[in-house]
Amino acid sequence: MKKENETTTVDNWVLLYADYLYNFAIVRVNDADLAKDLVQDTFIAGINGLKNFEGKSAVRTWLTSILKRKIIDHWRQKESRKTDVFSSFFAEGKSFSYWQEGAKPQGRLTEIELDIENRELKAAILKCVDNLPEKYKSVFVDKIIDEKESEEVCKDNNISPSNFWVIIHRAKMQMRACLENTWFND
Amino acid sequence: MIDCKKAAYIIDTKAYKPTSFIKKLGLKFHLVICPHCAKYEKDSKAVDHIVRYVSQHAAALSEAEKKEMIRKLQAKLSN
Repeated sequence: MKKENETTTVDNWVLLYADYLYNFAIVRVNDADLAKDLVQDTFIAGINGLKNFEGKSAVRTWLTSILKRKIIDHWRQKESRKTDVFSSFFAEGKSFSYWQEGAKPQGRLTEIELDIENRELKAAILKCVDNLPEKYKSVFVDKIIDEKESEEVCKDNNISPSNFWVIIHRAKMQMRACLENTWFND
Repeated sequence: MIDCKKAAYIIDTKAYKPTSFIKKLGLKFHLVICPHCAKYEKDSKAVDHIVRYVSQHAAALSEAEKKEMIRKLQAKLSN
């Protein structure tokens, strides 16, 4: 009987929440197969933890929090294999040498907006989000993409407000440089 | 007079963070004399639009993929 309940629940969950969770995952991991696996693992964890679910939040919110922890675990593993190619952009510069040679903004990104439906471009944009260091990515995606309240993002990521704004700024600097480098690499 | 470092910070945060009139004014003056930061402001706004749009239109699972997911989940749960 228990098994039957579980299978009906999981069928419903896939129909109701799989698209939302998959989209949530793919923006953060930029890999379709991995995103599917993470969503699937989330459903399994959800079924196994169902008796602990107190119904204090909506099911979707609860599943999203499980998925989020899985994504963070994935980032941690990946992070240890990655070097920060953009660190040079953040080298402390003084006043007008702040924009380093070869990394000066060109104001061309509005051209990207016109071409936004281009598949390659979409992939390149998700790649840039994926390239952000883990601690920036979580904050950047929550605030700029999901448009959450700043206080909530600080709490979720366990950071101070001043740290939060610096991260937003640095993540945006890196995103801008990445988009320009990948799309206008002439 | 604010420098580029401060200007870029204000540009990136002012859409989301209450920013004083003095800071906004300082930024305005800076942008008049600094073409790099003026371009950065344009790009900074575009970054938000671009990533938001693409993320919201990123992907959905096909019916076949959902069926496959249900099949795999059923298999795991019956173990």
